[in-house]
Amino acid sequence: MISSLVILSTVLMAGGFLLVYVLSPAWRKRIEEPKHCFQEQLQRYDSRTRESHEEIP
Amino acid sequence: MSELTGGQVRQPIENQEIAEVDSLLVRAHSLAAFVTLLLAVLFGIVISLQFFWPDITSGSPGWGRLRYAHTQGIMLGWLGNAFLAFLYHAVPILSGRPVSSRRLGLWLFGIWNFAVMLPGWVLVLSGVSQPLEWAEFPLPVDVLIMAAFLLAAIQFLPPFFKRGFENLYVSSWYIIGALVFTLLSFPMGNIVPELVPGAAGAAFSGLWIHDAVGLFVTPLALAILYFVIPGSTGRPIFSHFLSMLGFWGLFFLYPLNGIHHYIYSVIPMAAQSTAIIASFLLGVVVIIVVSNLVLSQRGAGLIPADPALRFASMSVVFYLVVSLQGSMQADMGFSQMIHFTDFVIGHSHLAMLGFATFAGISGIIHAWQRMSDAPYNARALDWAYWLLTIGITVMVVDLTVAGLVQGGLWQSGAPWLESVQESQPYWVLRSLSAIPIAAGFVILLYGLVSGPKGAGVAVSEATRLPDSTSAESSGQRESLQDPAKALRMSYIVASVAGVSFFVFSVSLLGVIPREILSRQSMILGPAQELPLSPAELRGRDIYAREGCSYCHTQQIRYTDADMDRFGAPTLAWEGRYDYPHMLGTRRIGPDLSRAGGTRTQQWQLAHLYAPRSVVPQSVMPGYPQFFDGSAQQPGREALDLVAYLETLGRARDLAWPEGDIAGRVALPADERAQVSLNASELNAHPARTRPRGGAPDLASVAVSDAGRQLWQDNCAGCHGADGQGDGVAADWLQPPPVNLAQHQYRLDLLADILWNGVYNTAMPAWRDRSPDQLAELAAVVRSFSAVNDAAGNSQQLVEGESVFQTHCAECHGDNGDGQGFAAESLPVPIAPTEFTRERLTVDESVRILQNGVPGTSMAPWGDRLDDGEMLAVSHYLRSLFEGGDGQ
Repeated sequence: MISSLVILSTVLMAGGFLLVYVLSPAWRKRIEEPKHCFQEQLQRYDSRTRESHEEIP
Repeated sequence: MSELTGGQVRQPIENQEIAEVDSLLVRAHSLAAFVTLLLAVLFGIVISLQFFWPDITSGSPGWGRLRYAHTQGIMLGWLGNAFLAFLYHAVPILSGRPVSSRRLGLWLFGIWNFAVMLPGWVLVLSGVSQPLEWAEFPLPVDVLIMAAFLLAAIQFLPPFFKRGFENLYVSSWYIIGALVFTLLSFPMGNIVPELVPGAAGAAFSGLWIHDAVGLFVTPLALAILYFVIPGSTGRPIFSHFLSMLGFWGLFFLYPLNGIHHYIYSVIPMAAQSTAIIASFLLGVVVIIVVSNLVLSQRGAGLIPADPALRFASMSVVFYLVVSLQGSMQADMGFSQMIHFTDFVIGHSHLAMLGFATFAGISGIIHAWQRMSDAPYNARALDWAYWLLTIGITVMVVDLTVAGLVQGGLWQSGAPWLESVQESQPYWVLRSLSAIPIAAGFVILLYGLVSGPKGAGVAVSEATRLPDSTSAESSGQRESLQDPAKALRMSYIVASVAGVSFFVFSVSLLGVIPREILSRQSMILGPAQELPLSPAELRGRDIYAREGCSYCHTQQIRYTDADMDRFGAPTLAWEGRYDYPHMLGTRRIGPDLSRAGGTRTQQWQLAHLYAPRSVVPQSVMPGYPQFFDGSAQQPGREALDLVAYLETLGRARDLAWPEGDIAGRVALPADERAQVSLNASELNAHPARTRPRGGAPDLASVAVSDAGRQLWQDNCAGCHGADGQGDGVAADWLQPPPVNLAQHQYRLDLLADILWNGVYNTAMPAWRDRSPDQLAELAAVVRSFSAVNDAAGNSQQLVEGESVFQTHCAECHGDNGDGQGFAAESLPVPIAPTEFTRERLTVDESVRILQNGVPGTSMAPWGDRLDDGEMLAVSHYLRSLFEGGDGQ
């Protein structure tokens, strides 16, 4: 019974996520947005590191 | 676009500055990580060597204490420091905010290394510890660890709160999750088992064992992988959606896995099956996570050029394998075979030294590459990668195969020592695999402290993938509507869900099982139970301190193999006074749940002093430090420890059989309890002595090499290589081992002795040996005999009979069959010699008559019989021998 509850919860959670992902393009974009923001942050950080490295004689 | 929050203007993330990374703290924790790693690996190497060189640490901290130091060193010293180093690098980049305070960072560094690791190691090595897996540091250190986790939360969480939760990247989720849930789960695993006894406490331990991996190590390792992979490739991860699906799946399912460490134990089956199901589902989630991580590396090649990415990539591979192993191990059929074996040890090494360590290394290298003034030696890192990959792969494959071999032998019912002997080559290879591993770590450290400064910056640029500018990146993405309100709601929901998952798992796998087990204990346990004496309690502390439960379990599972080998499965009430529990998760030696009464005190002392004296194939380290120079001079600690061993199984023994009969009536619906209560034997220890009778008929065979080997492996320690009673342990045992050259046995008597042992002596039973093996052994025993057929003269026989009937028959029986009327009530209850089935040389008889047999009721007769009488009775005794095989 408890095992069934665990299975059901997992399936519902994963299914729910998937359903929203498929049905809502806006949410799809939103859920993917953090990876782009993070990438920009990484690039900015790396650029700054590179610049400071180049400044070292 | 800006937004007002709490009266302050917050910049959208795209415009946020990148905060400074505190490279001092990155370096400090990285170097501390490597120092603790090398020490922890050193401890690991020493304990691995003890598997074939058991006394290598004789007189200094023994195997168990080093094992404690090894596991805590890897988890807290190495991985803890590596993760902290990564957090100092990653949190400012992820949040756009600096960490809370450098001063706080210095305090955290100091506490972690000089108030946790250093005293933790010193304490466990000097014998102050708790016998709980992955929780071995003692309680005062646990308090400091919790303080350190709290400081870490204060240090790293506020930057995320200040930043706001919009567009929170998956690494941030994992970091927040790890910091919050480790704070919750650590006390549960480190303190609750001290308060909740026996199997119920073990349920909480199981939760922690898995939460330590699932809520501390795995989230931070994944945070690193999700950070390093896009950082190295210069490209966003494949799917943030999948990463979040994985995040929630892992945080829901990991805490539900804990009880899979106790499958087939007394812990309620509902909790076990929940853990099993969660373990399978977790495997599916891991496949999703790994697929996403692999797809995120597309184009980087199988062996990426960037060392950080290369370590990350291999970490992903290890993660997949170790997770699928975990799911497999939860399968009941498979668990039955491989649980307690080296398979699990291979699994945990793959998790901690493979997956998590490679992730930690990739995080440190990634941070190092971005420090303009940090030395960097790419060639050394390259070498380190290959050495570590090869070393860890060899170790894990080796231990996996060893586990399968051990499990197969245990299932087959083979004698325990056979599994020890078969494991030897694998244990040697495991130690050899430590050479590339240790070398890899040393070279890795060398790679980060040598080479040109700032060389890592160039490497990270050169290895970036060519298509690093994503089509979707800056400026080209469709602008999203302000999601702040909806997101804030979703983060509240997420927080509530996260805490609920944890509470759900603790309730399901900890609190509810405890209630069920308490109820079972109350119904089935005896109303009055003999408590442990002060000496026995001290012995228990020594057992815990020396890590005995890391080689000897105290739980007989509800499996045929366990029941056949050890007896009735352990009931909940048997551990109701065990604070903390000693169930254990590994069997290098046999289970000790019912060890009491299976050996004499002298045998136990000899075994403790020099294990190979009585068990030549044993790999147990000796504890001569508990003695004053000899097994015959035990110190208090030795006596206390043996006193505790004698209590194992005592409560059930005393309650039995009435207790079991009452239990069957009291809980008729508890199917598993009924299995224990109806087990054919309460104690199936093959060495436990029994009254004579019931032995198998042994074939009369010639002496063989196999028989000689059996003799050397099992008997020579006491009886000596040539059976002359002069083995290493001979002087420590009373009665002393028989000099077989002076004795002749009928085959049926030998069968009886080998099958049943000799009660109250160090001669155990050998019921784990097949009749064929016992026949081979009997042939060797009989080959030692120098007894001849020479008979005394008639006058001697008449006089001898008179002496015998006057002085000896009351014990040895009128016809010498050992059934005298006093035999049942001897002060030392050892059966008198049966002269009808055993014949001694005249010299041996006379010697015994003169000196008696120490440790038995056979007193010296030299002051009551003259030489002539002793000679006469010796001849008479020989005349009683009936000869033949008796079968």
